[in-house]
Amino acid sequence: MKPAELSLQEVSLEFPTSNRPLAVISGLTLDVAKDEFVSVVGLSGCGKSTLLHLVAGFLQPTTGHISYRGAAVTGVSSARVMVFQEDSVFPWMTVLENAAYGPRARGVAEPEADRIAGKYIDLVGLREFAEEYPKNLSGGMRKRVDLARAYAAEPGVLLMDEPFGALDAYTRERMQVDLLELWQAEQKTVLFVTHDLAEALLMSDRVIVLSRRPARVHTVITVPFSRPRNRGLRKTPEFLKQQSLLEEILHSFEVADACAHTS
Amino acid sequence: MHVPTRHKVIANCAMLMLFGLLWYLFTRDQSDRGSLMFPRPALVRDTFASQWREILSYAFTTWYRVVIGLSLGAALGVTAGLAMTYNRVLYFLIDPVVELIRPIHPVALTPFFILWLGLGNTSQLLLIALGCFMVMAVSTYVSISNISPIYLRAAQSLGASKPHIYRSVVIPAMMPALVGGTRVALASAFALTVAAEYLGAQGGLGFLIRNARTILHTETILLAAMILGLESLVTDQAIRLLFSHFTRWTHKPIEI
Repeated sequence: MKPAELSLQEVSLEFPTSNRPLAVISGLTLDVAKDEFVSVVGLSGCGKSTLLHLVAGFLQPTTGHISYRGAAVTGVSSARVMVFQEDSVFPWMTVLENAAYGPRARGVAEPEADRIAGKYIDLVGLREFAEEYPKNLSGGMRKRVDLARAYAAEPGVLLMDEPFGALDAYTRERMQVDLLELWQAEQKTVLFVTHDLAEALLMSDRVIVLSRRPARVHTVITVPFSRPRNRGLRKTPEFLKQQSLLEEILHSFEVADACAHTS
Repeated sequence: MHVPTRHKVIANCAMLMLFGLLWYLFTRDQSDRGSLMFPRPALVRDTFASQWREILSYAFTTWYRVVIGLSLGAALGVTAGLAMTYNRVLYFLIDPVVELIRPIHPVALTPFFILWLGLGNTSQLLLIALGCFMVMAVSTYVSISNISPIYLRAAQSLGASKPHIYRSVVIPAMMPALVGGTRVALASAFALTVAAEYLGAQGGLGFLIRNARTILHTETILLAAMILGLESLVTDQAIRLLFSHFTRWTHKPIEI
């Protein structure tokens, strides 16, 4: 295995509550290699999103260390760009201005920023909408703007927090294929949080199953399918077998019935 | 329900004409006392015809005070609102001052303005600006507080510095919510201008009303009030037009 690009060592996080601290993550250790696509799944409320917020630098761990390329993560940085579940495309900017946001924010001159943005707008198939405001786009198209914007910021790690969770089932499947193609065209280290097990299997090199809260790594599954992948993979017996394996792990948590009150 | 612009204009004109007609009909056979209570259209028209130069110049004076006072107050108010959200220390410095002065109507402070700055334009404009400042500072602060945090997070994550986030996210995103505050500030600018003119400023429609009052020249008062209404309407439309440019990226409000 390649050396870790992103490394979490015994990371714990507690939130103060009125009576006693609430442990959200407890002793979580995880290494992500360069250009590896890693999905994180778990029951809702188990701390998946919180984990991503820690890696992004929005939160600081109570104990433990997070490092990126050997340097400790102490705050938000464009080296680790986050894509949110909610629509976070800036409605007051055109598609092109949105995609050029990252380069402009770090001081790249406008023509060059527009060139970088244009490249990713082409890759997500929105060339003819470059001058449109997001209000004129569908939810799926706005999500593509979001992906183009994240890619154009040229981060080392992409953090995706259930990016397609708010989309309808059909659009979600299209977006998964689009992201696969985008990732195939330009590989990136990706940490991808989802509750959709098929999505996790389709996209990832590894699937991390988090335990119920407080979250730690419960199971790691190395996805055996070769790349490039396409949506046809979902129908293969091997894929369905892996999917039911994951389902059973999560189901065993639900039987334990510990996370239910938070979901 | 979608209504074409042409129909709206027709409806507006029809309503105004109806009011004009009612005014004409109810005051057609009025006595001298009646014309004092509410002058008929012809009297108002004659007043305008004989004094239009003076009246228009007063109307311009009032409008000029409103626009300058509002611009000054809005510029400072928006700056204060931005500063309060930019930095917690600035918030704790500015907020108590604003909250302490805000309940005091600026007209109550007129004697101080006149004592310090005289009866000239400066004291009038500062008085109007003070009123607008309060409205705009609070309105800006609230508008910024209501921006969805997801945009700020996204901008941060994409590597934007705080000044860059203010330029590229906070200022454009606060605009839709700021329209209301600005229109309220305009209304208070008109009220303060007329009050200031009524209380002692030279020139302006408030000054005209005060003088007309002493000689019971009610047609002049009615004319001045109508011009004020018209000025307010036009300026309000101009503000809405300006903001519709700043907020062209938003969805058009749904018509029910």
